Amino acid sequence: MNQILTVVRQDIISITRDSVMVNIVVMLFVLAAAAAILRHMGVYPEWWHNTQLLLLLCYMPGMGYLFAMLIVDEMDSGVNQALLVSPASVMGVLWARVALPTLFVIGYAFLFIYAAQAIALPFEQWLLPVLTMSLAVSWVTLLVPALSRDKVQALGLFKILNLYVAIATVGLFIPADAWYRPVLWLTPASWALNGIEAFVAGNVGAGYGWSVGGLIFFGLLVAHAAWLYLRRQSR
Amino acid sequence: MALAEETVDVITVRDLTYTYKGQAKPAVDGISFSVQRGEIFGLLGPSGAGKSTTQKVLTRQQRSYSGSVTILGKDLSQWGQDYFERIGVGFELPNHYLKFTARENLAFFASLYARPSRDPRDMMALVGLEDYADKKVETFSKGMRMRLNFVRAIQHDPELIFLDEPTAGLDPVNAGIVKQLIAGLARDGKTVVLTTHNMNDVDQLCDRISFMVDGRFAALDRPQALKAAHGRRMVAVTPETGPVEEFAMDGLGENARFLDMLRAGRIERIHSQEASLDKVFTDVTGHRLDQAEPEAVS
Repeated sequence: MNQILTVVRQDIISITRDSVMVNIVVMLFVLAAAAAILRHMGVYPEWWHNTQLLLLLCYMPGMGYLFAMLIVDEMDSGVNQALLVSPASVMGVLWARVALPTLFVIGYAFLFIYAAQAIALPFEQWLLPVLTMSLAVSWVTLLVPALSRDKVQALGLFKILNLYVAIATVGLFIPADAWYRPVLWLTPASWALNGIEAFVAGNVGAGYGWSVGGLIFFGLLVAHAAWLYLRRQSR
Repeated sequence: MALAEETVDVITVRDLTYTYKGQAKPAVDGISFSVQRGEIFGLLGPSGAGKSTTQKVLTRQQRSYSGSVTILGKDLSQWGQDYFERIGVGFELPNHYLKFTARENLAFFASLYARPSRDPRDMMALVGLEDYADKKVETFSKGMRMRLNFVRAIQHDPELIFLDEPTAGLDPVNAGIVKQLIAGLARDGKTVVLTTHNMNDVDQLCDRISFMVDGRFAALDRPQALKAAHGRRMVAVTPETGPVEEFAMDGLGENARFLDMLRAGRIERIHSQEASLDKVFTDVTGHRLDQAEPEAVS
């Protein structure tokens, strides 16, 4: 346990020493603050709903990117190999690196939701969609280092994964009955958004249906990414 | 007697075979050897011979091997994470957190071990890095990073140390310091497995060496024994003028012609004709050490 906490502490110090990573974290809070201020000033009320969902979803892969880049950097520099022959458990370190950013974004999401108050839903209706969206962090954290050989590849792959998650927000701007809407169901993030929209519309059953489905869908993607990551580690 | 030998063997390997996924030919093909406590054991061979794979199996980086491997009295597959408390691994290429200082790097790795580690400054002083303890590793030369690699591998006082090309990238002075430290570790009862291309390191450090080619051991013995077996027990005398003359080592003290040449005092050089390890390696394996094996190149 101590070793895992040591690695987590090292990760946090690494992030604070990288100006790009610090900027990403700072921007999270700036965007949340800006949205909350606009909401409480009462301006652009027609945008509150979509802005809330856009910001909630779109920063999540970015948090995964931070930790994914830490792992890619370790692989690139060979530190990963040194960690593999240390008493730190590979699985323990992996869990810590997935859990830390995922828990961070869940906490951040609820902070944002209650600070902005742009969409009024009870906590239990937010919980499953937020959990589903937060799995984007775990997925990116695992899949980027599993498939990238260096930081350039990691950045390119992250942009694709980010697009795969963020494209769900297109659903906020197209007609509800558009024939091409089901294409968006190919990303689990859209299931989370559909769940929130169903809760907002008062359709609680559909809200839970979409949310649970999205959670299972994203859970499978995370499990696959974990398998790829561990397979790469064992090579 | 066999029981007594078992108790001093730190590593016992029997018929170790390892094949990478997707490869038909094994990278390590049925090797057997043992290493005793306090011994420096050298694994030599060209690139692609299977040395690094052997080391990866012994350090549990590759786990799907066949054969039997017993290390520090326990089957390798039975060890948990506590195995890493008792071994140290020095890699061929430097691998550090570049944005952290040398001291921070050592302190971080030291904190992963339950057993106490030596003070990072003391460790850096061993290899002449004490003045750079608070410099970020990204400012270090390759040689400095390699020295840091070396001390990181031994800072938690492991009983068994695996070193891959520990003098690569070092100038002769620092290479000499590292070699002295390795010899000192063995004197203190530590066991060292040295993987290298460098015959000079092997000749100076190793108690026994194995020549590895195509995943197999082509030879395994003491360096002196290998050199003697593949050399000639002759002495070549080069006078200031005239041709080189060779004399059998046996009975050299009674050889009248040899003694006459010595008394005449006009000798430029005298060389024993034992084989160099390079020559032994080439004779035994048919390869040169600076050659990569065809599989490694492709």
